[in-house]
Amino acid sequence: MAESTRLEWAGFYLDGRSAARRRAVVRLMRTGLEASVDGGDTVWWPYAEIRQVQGFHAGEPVRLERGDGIAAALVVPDAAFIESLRHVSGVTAPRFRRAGRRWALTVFGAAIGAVVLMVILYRWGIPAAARVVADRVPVSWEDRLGATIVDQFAPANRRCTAPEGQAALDRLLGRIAAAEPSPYRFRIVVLDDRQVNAFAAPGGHLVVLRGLLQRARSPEEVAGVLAHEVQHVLRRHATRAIIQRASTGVLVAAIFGDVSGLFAFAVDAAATLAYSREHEGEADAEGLRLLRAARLDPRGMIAFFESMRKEAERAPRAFRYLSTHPSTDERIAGLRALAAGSEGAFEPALTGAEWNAVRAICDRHG
Amino acid sequence: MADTCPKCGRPAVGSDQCPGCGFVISLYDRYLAERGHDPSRKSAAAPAVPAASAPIVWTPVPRREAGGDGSPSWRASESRLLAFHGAGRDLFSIWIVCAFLTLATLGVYYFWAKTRVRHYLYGQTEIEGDRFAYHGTGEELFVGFAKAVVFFIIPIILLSNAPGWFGWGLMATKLGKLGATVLTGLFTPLAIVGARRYRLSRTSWRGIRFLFRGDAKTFVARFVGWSILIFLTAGFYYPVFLVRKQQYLTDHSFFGNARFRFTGEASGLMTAYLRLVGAFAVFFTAFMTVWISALFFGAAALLLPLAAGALVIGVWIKFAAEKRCYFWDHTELEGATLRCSVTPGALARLYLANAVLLLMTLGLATPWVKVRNARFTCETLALDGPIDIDAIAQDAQAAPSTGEGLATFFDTDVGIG
Repeated sequence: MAESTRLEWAGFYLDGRSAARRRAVVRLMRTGLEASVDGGDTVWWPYAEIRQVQGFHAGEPVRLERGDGIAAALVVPDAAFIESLRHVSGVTAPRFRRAGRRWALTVFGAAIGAVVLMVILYRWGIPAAARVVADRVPVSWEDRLGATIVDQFAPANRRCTAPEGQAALDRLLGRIAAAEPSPYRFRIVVLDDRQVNAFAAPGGHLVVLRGLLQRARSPEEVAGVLAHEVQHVLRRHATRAIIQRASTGVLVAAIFGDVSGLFAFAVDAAATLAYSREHEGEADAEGLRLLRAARLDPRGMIAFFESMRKEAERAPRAFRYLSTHPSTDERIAGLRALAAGSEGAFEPALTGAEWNAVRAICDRHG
Repeated sequence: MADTCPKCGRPAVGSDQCPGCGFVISLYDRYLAERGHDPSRKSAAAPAVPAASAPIVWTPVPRREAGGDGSPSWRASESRLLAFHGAGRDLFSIWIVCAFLTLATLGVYYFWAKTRVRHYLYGQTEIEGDRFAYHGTGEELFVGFAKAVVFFIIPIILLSNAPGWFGWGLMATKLGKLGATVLTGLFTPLAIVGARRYRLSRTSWRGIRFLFRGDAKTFVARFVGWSILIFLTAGFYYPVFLVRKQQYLTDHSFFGNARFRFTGEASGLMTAYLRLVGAFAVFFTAFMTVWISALFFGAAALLLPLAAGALVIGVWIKFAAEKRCYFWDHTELEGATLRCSVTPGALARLYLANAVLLLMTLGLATPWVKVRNARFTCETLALDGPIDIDAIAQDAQAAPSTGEGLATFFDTDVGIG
């Protein structure tokens, strides 16, 4: 205890007026400390007016300040000083704190807590918040946003616009969309690209790639894909995903600071895949319901996914579609169960002439 | 005791206290010993370090009259090195608690977290035996950010989108886009000036605050002019812009009543910049060549753009090192000059090791990377030349700049980056 009750300490006094550092002997008294400053001054600091601003880490000199604005400061290099100060003044943490040690448990707890919170927020918190926010975004905003995305992804000079094919697709899409009342106005654009893919931008903007129209063996298969994409729009999946990614990015940036760019990218890529699987399942089931309501044969949808799965087993060419539309056995089995018992009164998706027009939609573009 | 005074260099000091400047050698040696330095380097026959419990006694001496005895305050060859004492472990313990609180508050704690990290980094940076201190608060950063949101971010979003959302027509859309562009253009220079003013006013050494006295309006006007020149010269004004910007920021910065001076030339970075542009030209030529040659030579042609890519990264790091050193080497404070010893190789090794650390640990090494960066900066920076530090006084304006009305309205750090 001899060390902790030492009353005289060597330090330096910074008066806050000049950059000169003056040596000082600091004496700990009952209600305050007295510093005899080199040059003849003596200052008296009551403990109640002193705040510790440095000396919380190993090797960091203890720095005490007093006064508002530009404060005067006392610096005592010997870390043991804080022990004596605490002992004599009777003032302890949080105002006068020792360096190090106390962290061990806090740090461990914080690390565990941070990981747990991260998982909770990433898995449930942010998706739930995104859902709440997305449901409150006006349809007209979604419409604008979707139009911008489609203009970027499918510029006018790469679209297939043969009028007969477009009219047939518009009619098919209209029939599907009409099966469920909604504030959305659905539009479809065919992009001249050989990949087998389709996507839905917010606000009712669907994009189908030429490759998908050529791969489909019947108009019912195309109808299945369209119903699936319409459900993405109605459930606001794209809007939700955008909000989700943006808020995840902000949180990551807040934690990692300057090095966030790298991680925002990684998290973004992971989020796209992980969340889309849930959304895909929902779009499948609801899409199938929509098809039946529109008196379209849901077996077309199943047949299309099945052919995509077989394709994936043979060659990796379709992996673009599969990466965002996982065509697993469970998925197809689930759809089969939903479709069971729905044989009967279906009407053809398109007439033969219309189907031919759709397949030829890219033949005389430009 | 026939020794040389470590402070004023006076030879043959007969006692513990230098008669020339009043410096107490034993106290100095003890201080050095406590900081892990070997006092014998400075004074060969140092007296034994007093036991920790021994009372410290000295007789107060009158303050040294400046130049009273004709001896210079500092040796002309004086070089002051910066030192960084921080450890990744210590910063990690701060950072992980901050990460937890940031997550728990859905990001709001970010501003307080940033302040805590700055407190640590400043407190671990030392020159002439004294640490820097950071005086900012999380509230101040939060208010700065809120101002930026209310006066810039929300108006920019509204101006660029509202006409479309509400269908106000083509004219309104164009005006909105123009307004958003103007606001975005103003935001960058205002943020630069505001952050610098805030950051300097919240930084002190030996109790003396740093200060930025630049005028926001002047800087914004010049910044807009420079941007137009960069556009008109297809980018070749860029190195001049970098120097001019640095000049304005440095020339209006103060340490107490001591003013910083920038002594660089407008064309100082031109050569380095042209080399960078040349490397990009080589890169693109190689890239285009490979498209054609790949048809004939196959995969071997891929080596060409790879080599060119390495060249671009190398030249870019070289430019970063040259820029840093050009700015520091041309910064003066009261007759002393900053001296930079950053080499492109050392900078490249720092960046590479940091990237590997971050990727291997999925970002958990962030505190270590921050410490490495700070240590690198301190180890490559020194203050050379005679400077009478004791003569520097606090500036009357150095009072904290909160709540000073509209004049300093935007002089806050938005805390981003």
